Amino acid sequence: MAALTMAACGGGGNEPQTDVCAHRGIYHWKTTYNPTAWEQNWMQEHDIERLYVKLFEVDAGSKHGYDDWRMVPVATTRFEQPLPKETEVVPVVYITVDAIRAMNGSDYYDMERLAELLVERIYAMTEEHWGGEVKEVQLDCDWTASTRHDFFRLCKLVKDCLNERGATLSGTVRLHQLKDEEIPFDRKLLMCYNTGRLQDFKTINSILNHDDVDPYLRGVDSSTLRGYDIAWPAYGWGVQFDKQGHFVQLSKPEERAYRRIEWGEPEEVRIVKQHLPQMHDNTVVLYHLDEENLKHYSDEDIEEMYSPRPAAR
Amino acid sequence: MKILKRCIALGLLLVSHAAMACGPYYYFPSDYRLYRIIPTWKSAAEESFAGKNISLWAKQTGFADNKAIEAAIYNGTLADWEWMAGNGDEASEWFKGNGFAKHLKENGDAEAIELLYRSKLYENIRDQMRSPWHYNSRISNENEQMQALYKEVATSTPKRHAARHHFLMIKCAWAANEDNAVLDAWQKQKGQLRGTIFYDEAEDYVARSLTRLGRKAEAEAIYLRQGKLPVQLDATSLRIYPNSAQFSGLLQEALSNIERGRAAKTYGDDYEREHRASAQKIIVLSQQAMATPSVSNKAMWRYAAACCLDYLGRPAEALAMLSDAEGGDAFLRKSIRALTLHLRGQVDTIDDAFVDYAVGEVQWLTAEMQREYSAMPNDVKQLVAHTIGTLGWDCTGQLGQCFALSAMQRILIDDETGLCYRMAASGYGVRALQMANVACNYVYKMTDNKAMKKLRTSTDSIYYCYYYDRTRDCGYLYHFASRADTTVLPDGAHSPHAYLFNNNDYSNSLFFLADTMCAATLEQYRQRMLHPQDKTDRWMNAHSYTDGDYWQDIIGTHYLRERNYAAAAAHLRHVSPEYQRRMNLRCRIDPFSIDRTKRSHDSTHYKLHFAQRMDSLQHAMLHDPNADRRGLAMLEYSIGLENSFDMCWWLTSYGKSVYAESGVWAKKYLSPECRVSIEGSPYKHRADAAVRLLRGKALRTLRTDDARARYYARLGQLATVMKRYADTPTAQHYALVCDTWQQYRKAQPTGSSTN
Repeated sequence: MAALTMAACGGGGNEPQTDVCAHRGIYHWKTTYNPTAWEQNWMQEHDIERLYVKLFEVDAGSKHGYDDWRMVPVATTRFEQPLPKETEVVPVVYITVDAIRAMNGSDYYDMERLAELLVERIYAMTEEHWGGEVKEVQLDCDWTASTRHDFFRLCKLVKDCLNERGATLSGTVRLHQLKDEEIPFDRKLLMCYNTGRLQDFKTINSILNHDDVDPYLRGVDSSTLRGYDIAWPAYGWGVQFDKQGHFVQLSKPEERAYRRIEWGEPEEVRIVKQHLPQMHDNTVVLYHLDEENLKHYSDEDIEEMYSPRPAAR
Repeated sequence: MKILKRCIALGLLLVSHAAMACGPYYYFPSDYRLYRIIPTWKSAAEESFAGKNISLWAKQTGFADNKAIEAAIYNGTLADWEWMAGNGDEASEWFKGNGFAKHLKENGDAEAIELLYRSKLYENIRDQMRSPWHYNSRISNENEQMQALYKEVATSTPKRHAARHHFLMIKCAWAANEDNAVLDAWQKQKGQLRGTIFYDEAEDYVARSLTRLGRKAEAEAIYLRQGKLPVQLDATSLRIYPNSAQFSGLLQEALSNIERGRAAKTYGDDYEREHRASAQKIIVLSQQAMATPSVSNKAMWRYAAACCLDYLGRPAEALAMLSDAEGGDAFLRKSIRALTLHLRGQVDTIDDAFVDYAVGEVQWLTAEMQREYSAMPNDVKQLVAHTIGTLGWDCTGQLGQCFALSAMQRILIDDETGLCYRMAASGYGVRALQMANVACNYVYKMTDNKAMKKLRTSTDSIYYCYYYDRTRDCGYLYHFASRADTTVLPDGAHSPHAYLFNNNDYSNSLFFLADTMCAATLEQYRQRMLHPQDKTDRWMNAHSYTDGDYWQDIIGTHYLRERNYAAAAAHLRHVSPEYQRRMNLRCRIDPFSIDRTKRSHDSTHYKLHFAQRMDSLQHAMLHDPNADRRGLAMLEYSIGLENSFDMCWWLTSYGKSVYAESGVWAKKYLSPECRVSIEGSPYKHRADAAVRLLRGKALRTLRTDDARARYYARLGQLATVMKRYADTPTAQHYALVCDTWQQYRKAQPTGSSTN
């Protein structure tokens, strides 16, 4: 494994590699934190330095019976094991678009209070289950033009709170958001998955297809991606359609009639990487820590996805 | 039908601008609940902790104003209590003026102040912890505050308020995630907490800590004891939790449903089938419970089975089931005793011994009523004292607050199984009336009911004395401001603010029972009111409504229906004109007219004058030496008789309904107007036969043509007069005044002109 790592960092191949060796991270996106022995071992074997753990989601309060709260935490992760001390934990909070919509029209103090509560909750949870120093907190939100303003307002306030505590704010950026120059995160994470139209019967692979990604990368250079980390898909699913080709549901990636099996394919990752400009000092994050999904990939596949540039073929 | 009646009453309230603030609502004995295992849905154990806490503060501090205590401890803010404890700058003005706060301060009750301040602080931190944003971790701000508070409480030494102090300490430890400390404190302090209002509350926190520590079986045992585990009314639950406290509530719910279904069986067979199946299921389950050695409260199961057997119409088996029902709490024993009376009332022979037993039980139930009323909170007492009917006591679908009253209604005067009806049929009519009177009216005496007092003593017109089926054509009982036809409305009904609803005195079960009895029995009862024969009579009278106007009017009316006019007049002359004016006696249709539009001008003695005139006609048709006068008296009498059961039905009855025309003269399932309707009654049939007989006999009695002409003219048959008796003075009179046939029609004579 170490040999593979060395190769990825420029120890092998004919061309000299100039990319700085990336940090390795993985998302934990389940509602219960209880990694299997295999998953723990996998993290060790692949030298995972950062664990991006979703702590809770934030949704509109009115949807959960809290009329006096514009937004409330929901789906809080239950910890059945402590987080690994030796790994840096990046707490992640997923914020729904409904939550941002609920903030529309709120005054500064409302928003500031919620930002403080959000940060306090993150610290309470990490302290309780990890105990390490929080260096970075990540917000994940699929903001749109209509929710951008309120989300950025919230982000700025959260960032201030975090900076006061000596931590930085990072946030996920979808491909369609890449060219937004006012994104208020200290660091950004480019999500290179869920790029296609899931519910379209004609889609070849909605998880990652370089044809879907390429249009967004036009005109993107190294300076655009400064301060960016990147996330690749390491998961799969079955997309179930009915006889008329209408989307029914997501299911396990098992072969069935009218079911499209999709995986985040290492080959697609490799192609997209080739189209990406050079990135410096970034973290490569895989989505997500799950034995069933990760077993689909060979060690070589994983190493290739973690490598900053595609290995020579 | 009851539902229909209620809908009509409600509808009338909605459409009429003249509607009273509180409209009529009929309660039937079947609306009351006899099957009772628990006093109220909230058992005594679940009674508001806050209420008990306030009372305890009152006792401990010697301060009697519960409202002030409540305001101070529940509405006072943390800042207020900080100020009290000397830590805060300012308190709200109302708090500074609060009697309890001043009392504590003036008495220097530092321990109570400190305890209340800490309790308020605890609540404040808990409020923050209840925020959806709070995360229950050891390092959260709230947890740190709670830890600090817990340590403060744990290290202080209580004196006068030890139980409160220990309870607060356990709560703080639990909220601070110090589960082992909760268990330690419980072990050490539960002796001091036992017997206080805090024991169960504190034990609940112990169960929560045990749950968090993974000791779920121990927690479950506590929840089981507290009745908080999900138990169902089935064999599995009985096997697992044979003594679950929840069975009483579940059985009560099931029995109430069955009893409610019994009251509403006119809804249809499906409901009845469902309730019968439910009753069968409870009987089977009760038998299993009785056969299970570990079941401790067998009396409750026996009682439940007996109720179901009673519902299924098997009172003898139910009585046998109850005979072994020993034990249970005081309330259940009371229920068993009441149900025993109910069952014996259906099974036993009604004789002197039984009636003595029943009287004793009625006296016991009355004493229970008094006890239950005394124990009621003041606000409920206030409500009861100002409400007519049964509001505050028992409403359909709910458990009333006064079981004894409920039980008495169901046992004595229920439509189907009412003991009073059985006693009346067995020759104990007066006792039956006495008992029914107590069941219906003692509640107003006991509570000194202001609304009923006003209704009975006001000079305003009262409403709902007479019932009339509105599908008939001669008028409306109910007031519609826009309609002119208010034939049977009381005086003053045109003015919407000047009359009162009396949906008790002429709607209650005593009145219905009286309506089924002959006048002589009612008169005997009246005599026993005036001249009690024994101690029981005196007791009954003291607990009854014995108003002379009310009873004399009823007795007089009964005599009118029995055509005993002399006796009717003897009673009706004692009904005061004021009472008659109030209660809609003056219906203005002349009872001796064959014209339905001819109004009487008799303003106050309508019934009495009718009785007197009928009595004199009766005398004339029997004793007048002149045959013509005898014959015409017969005719006149027959007109009065016919009218008194037809268009002037209020002379002989308190209601008229088309429903009764089907021949139903029954007390079952009928709305008030049907129960008291004269239509279809034997009296009406007998009167109709007498009218036919008298008309023929009168004609045969007449000796002169002029008298015969007057006979036909009186009946409006002028053509016969002119055709057969043209030469008589009577015919010539009509020939003089009438030029055309139309005028003949208009000149139809009326009763009073014939004599």
